[in-house]
Amino acid sequence: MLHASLQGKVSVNVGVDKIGHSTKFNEDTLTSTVFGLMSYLSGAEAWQFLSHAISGLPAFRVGRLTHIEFWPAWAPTGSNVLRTEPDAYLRFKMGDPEVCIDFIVETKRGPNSPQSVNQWCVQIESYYQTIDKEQSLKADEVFYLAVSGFAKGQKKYLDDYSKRKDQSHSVQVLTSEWTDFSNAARRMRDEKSDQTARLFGMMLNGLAHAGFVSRLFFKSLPSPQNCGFTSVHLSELIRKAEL
Amino acid sequence: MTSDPKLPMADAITAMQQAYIYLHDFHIRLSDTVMEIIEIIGKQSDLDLHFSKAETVSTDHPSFRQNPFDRNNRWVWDWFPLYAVRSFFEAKGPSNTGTLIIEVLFDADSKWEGKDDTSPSLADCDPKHSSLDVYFLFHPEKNQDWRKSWDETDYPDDAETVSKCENGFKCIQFDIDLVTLINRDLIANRAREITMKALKQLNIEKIE
Repeated sequence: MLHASLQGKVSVNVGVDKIGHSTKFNEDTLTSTVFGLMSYLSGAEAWQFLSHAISGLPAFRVGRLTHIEFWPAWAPTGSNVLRTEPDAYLRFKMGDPEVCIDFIVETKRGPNSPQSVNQWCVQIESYYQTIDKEQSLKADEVFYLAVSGFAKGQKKYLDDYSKRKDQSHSVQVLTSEWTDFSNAARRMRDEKSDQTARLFGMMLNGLAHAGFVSRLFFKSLPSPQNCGFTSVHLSELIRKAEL
Repeated sequence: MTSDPKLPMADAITAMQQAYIYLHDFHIRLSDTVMEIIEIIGKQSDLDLHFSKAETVSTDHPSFRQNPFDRNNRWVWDWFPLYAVRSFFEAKGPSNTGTLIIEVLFDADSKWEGKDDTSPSLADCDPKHSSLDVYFLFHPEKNQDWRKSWDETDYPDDAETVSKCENGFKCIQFDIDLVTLINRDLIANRAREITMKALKQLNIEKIE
């Protein structure tokens, strides 16, 4: 599907903006591109990828992605919302001994479709009513991941949430941008080989097609010393070479 | 670096390899920075900018037909890592009262010409004088052969002021300094700022 879309074989590719980015790549397409492709990885690689893209995740070297569900329909009770639908729900079992970690993921296309703290609260409440109600299903840690849509800056949304959150729920809210996933995918593509590198190459193409291009800037340029490069004048090198 | 007397060239090759890795890292960042700037100018101006051409400023681009062992034909080092390379992006589509071209030039070769047979000296290179220069070139005619005309035109003397050059060009030039180039947000702010100034001063509007 993604290959066909990128090559213009299917209609999802029809609309492009003035710099050629597909306007049909909405948040659902982006969610599918990133988290769908990620689901084909081993748990350790998927966790490594998320850790590159998101600040604040604990480090694990081994683990499993045991469940991934796109657009689960949760029906909160005690609310005037009949149904809420996060973009993805993920369950990892990481480490040895295993720690059960859940992610509720809410994505937006960009700052023009802003995140809603009210929606976060409804989805978190629904999660506790749906997933966490049975002791056997309880996770050890729960992360709510909000991707993009921070028109007022990430801090404003996090501050709003900390004022409104239900203190009985121990959810940690994490934020990131699609470009963080582009940068993480680029890093993984460069570090890995074969099928894993191809998968991240595909993810990078999909994100770039939607306008989320991984770019490197001079702030991240290693100092010459950190590259192992010692400043030696060319004539000295030539002299050594001629010895 | 450790010296091995049995491998007298090892240090030189190691240094060259490390330098190459560093140049690669530099080149990638400069390429990405140029693309970021062009993307922002395109968004801010609501004009479709398409890559047109890139060329070295003061030396020849290597050709596969050139004998690489002839010192007169040698590949000098400005293409990689875009040491002194200028790139052109042309506004396509429903412009037009004329032709708009964006030229981006990373100017890091403040003195050294790279033409002679001597090694470059750091004494001839002062990073203080380096910057990324962005030129907005506007010609009042549509679809004219702007490349040839611009090649025959001198760069304007003053920054941030519209110059009327020979061959009918109006041109305005902006620097993006080394402090700004470090940071993506600063680059974005500067690119938006110079685009607004350029469009206003060149009196360019998109015609729907």
